[in-house]
Amino acid sequence: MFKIILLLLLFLYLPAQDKYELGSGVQVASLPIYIGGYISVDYRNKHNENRYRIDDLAILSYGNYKKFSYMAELEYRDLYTKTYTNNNSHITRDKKLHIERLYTDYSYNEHYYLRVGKYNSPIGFWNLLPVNVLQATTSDPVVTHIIFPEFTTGINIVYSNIQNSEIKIDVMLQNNKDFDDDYNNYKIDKHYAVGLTYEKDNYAFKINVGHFSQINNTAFKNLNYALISAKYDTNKYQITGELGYQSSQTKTTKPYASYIQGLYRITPKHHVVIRTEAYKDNVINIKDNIAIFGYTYRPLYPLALKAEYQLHSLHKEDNLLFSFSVMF
Amino acid sequence: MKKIILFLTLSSFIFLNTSADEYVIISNSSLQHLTKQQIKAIYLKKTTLIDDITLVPINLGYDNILREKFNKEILHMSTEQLKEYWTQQHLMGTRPPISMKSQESIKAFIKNVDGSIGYINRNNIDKNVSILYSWNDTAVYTEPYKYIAVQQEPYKPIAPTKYEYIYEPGNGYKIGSLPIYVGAHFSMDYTHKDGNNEYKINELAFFSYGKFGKIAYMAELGYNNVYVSNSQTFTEDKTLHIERLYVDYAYNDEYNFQLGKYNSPIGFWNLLTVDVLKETTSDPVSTSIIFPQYTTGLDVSYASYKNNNLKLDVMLQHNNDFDSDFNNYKVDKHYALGISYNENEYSVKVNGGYFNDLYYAQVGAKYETDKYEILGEIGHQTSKDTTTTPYAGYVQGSYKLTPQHVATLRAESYKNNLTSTDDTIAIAGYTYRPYHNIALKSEYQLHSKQKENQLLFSLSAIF
Repeated sequence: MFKIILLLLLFLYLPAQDKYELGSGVQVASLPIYIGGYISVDYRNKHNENRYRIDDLAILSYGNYKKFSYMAELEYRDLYTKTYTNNNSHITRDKKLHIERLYTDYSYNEHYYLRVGKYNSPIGFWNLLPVNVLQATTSDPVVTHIIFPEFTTGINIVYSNIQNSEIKIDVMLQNNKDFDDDYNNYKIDKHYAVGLTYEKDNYAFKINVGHFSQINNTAFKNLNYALISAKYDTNKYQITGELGYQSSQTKTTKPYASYIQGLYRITPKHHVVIRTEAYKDNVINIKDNIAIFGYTYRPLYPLALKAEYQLHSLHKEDNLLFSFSVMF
Repeated sequence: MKKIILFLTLSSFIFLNTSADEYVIISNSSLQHLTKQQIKAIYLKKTTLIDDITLVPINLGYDNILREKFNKEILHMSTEQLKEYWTQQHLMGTRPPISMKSQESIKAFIKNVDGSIGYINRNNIDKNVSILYSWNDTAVYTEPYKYIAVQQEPYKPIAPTKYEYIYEPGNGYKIGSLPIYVGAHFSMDYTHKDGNNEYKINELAFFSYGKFGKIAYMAELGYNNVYVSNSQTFTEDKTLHIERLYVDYAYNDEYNFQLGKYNSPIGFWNLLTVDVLKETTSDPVSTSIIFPQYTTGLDVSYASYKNNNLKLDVMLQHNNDFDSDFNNYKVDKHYALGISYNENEYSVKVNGGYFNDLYYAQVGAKYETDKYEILGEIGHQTSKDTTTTPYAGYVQGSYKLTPQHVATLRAESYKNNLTSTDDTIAIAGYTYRPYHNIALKSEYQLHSKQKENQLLFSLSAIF
């Protein structure tokens, strides 16, 4: 951890061409290499339990040279957690440095590019912004954790066509174990998926389907999923929705998991969010409907203070969250 | 005649050519033309290649007027949206286009760097560059931002007649030509607490007031907790209560007498009797446990409005309440004194009194500007033998994000020895007033006693 901080400080002192702005990273000297990072801390109150946490502490580096570019991101997750229950407290620390992303891109031409390595599965909209400071709320919709693998380690072939509208096709291929399978919501060694995205003006639609194979789960080893997503985004407000389905060969594991979220920008610095979610998980026999009310204050865009209250049909799950996050 | 026509035609041609600035997107590449969508994709770094040419887009600074026109015409994004977009792209490993200080810098860059594209005024263009796209100022005002000039008749104010009154929501309704006004207010709320949901029509009240010469009156009748429903019970209370009923006599500029049932002029919060006027659905605990919210008797007040505002109140009650069910304490005696001082944005109040063999004291302070308000009160109550409420107080900050949106934070703390209760509460609230007389509120209370944690929503209005 300290070695990384020292390395970061060293890079910060090298003269850069670009002037530094918060949220834009630091250029390493005059090289086409940039370094950044982010941190988030949160507090949660839930059914007699108070939890304080340093959630994310990450450093990332990226750059491009001609048709090639790369991304490397390392992260501590749940670095420090202190939980108070009744009169007892409990501390946990996870000092393992995870590989969150590590990939190379090759731009073949204006329509095709190829990505190799570990990357965010380009499924839906929420999964493409996996960082607290860029999201509308502290919590993530349940659908983003239970339907598909959040990360894929393999190849992503992308075709895009930009005319009056934009069409993009993603093909994800994985036939190997993950880089750092602890840092994924599913431990997988196979993932084959296709995604289609259509964007025009303020609208965007996405359809994703795929199949993945779990390493450590014999009961539901092979799973298929489908997800549809839609977004409408203007200067003042944004409406986003995703609906997913998952099944094994013998059983419907998740008949549905979905959310609809509305975000209203009262001013550029003050946003309010309302989200409703619903899901059913036949694997663990749980069903829940959730209403979430959130407020975000961004004194600068890459810095976010958030408050959120979740109202669950499973009453013991009601919780209040606060978070602070910043991107460098 | 022909010369005149020719002159007018040439003049209008010149006028048309110089009436709107024209802008171009240029490049030194072999590209000849790009669509607006392609240019947008290049500037948002969704693509860096066209016809196998690696493109390098160049911007002007965020504060440059031409940059704003470009963002509007080509990207259809505001500065805030772009800053949000590029922070997200930083996470994705994509850098924004380079920014140049001036159009001359852009031209120099394009001349020297293959594949670079930028935007400048058409009349600033050099040779040996290709124009990929152009637009002018009239285009900025047509698609998609339509600008329509409307001819309006000059406003002619109509002098109000003696019998003319224009109703405005929240200001009551005038009865004919009489100095009598009627109004109403209501509120309903939802509470979620400890796994239970409660729905309530909280207030439904009608009031009438008027003034004739030195004499004024107020009469307010209302239903309280008309309808309450939760998972276990359902109750209705159809009792019509007397909330306020008094007459004022303004002796002169300084002295006023109020006789009847009135809000005890103690602290600041207690004078806002109506949900729609408050910043949160809930009231601070101190306003219901330290002093009687209503007094039925005489209030003599002295006010001085010179450089500042100083007011003294003397409250005297030596009888039963009008409708003692509509008070937090059933009292038959209440003697109290209050001093208020107000200068510019600051107000301070001190109150002390006696009722039902109990003594109380309260201090309140307020600081109020157009944008925010900070308010605090702290009280103490004691009997002859024991301290009944050692302390009950709150501090509240409200911030007007916009005139319609208000965010509120309040911290409360109290200790009640009579019920052996003490609690510390943090409240976060949000109020939306689409109109000044309507309020939609949400509020979350975090208690040191966790079973008291609750979420509230309310809708209230005054007519």
